[in-house]
Amino acid sequence: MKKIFFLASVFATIQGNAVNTSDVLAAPTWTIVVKSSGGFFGYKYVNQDNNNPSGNSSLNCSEPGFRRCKWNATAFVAGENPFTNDDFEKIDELVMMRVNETNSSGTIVYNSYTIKYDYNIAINKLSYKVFSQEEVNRGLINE
Amino acid sequence: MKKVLFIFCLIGTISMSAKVTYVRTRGGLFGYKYVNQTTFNNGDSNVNCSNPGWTWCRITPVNITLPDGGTVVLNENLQSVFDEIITKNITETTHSGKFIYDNKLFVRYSYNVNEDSLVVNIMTLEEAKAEGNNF
Repeated sequence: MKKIFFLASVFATIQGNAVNTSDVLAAPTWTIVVKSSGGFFGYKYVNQDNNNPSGNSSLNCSEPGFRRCKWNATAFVAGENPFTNDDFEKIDELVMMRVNETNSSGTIVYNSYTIKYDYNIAINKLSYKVFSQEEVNRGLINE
Repeated sequence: MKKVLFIFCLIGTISMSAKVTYVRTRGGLFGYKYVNQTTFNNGDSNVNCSNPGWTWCRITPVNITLPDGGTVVLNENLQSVFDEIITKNITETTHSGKFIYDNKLFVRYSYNVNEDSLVVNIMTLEEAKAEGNNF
């Protein structure tokens, strides 16, 4: 009986450790949008990735072309899909309105999600990340 | 006297020629770093906008004199009208074209996607005909 208890406790410990290790090693789960060196009429490459194991979605748009930099399916934030494509368009609009010559990086809040943006004018690259409140609480926004 | 008249006629002809060309190359999401406008002695103007920056590629108003003596002012508003038409017309398969505005001006445009460079030429219908354009 003691052996059973011992084995059970060892199993529980291993499981517990496994969960904790997973938490520690888990990649941040923010949703990322990157627009880099687009053209007058749009982008050549528009790639959306919803398959990151961490629950992260990303949208990468680059080089001059004729495609719009937009999500073609619902994106995930921390494994959830709290936004419609319209929401992402509004977020994009808010970010674009916020960036200016004296304010090329910062944060905005949209429906309790925090968006951290940055524009690098030298390479014409705008990127922003969407953080859930829980991610903000975990300090991931400061990484 | 004939010489004076000839010179006046020559000046009159030159002042009627007011072609405008604007070129936008590799701008940024929020505008351009360099926006330069050059006006030549014959009245032609070139506007060059390039590199990522914070300035919109806007033209300082140019008077385009028509053969009938009338004038069209090419200003920001008219440039916006042209931009809207051009933006609608340029697609993945059509990178250049031309149109006539208000039966007064001829507008020709061309976009090089590899260079991300849009060139727009604006001139009177007579100038366009002289260049061999048919419409």
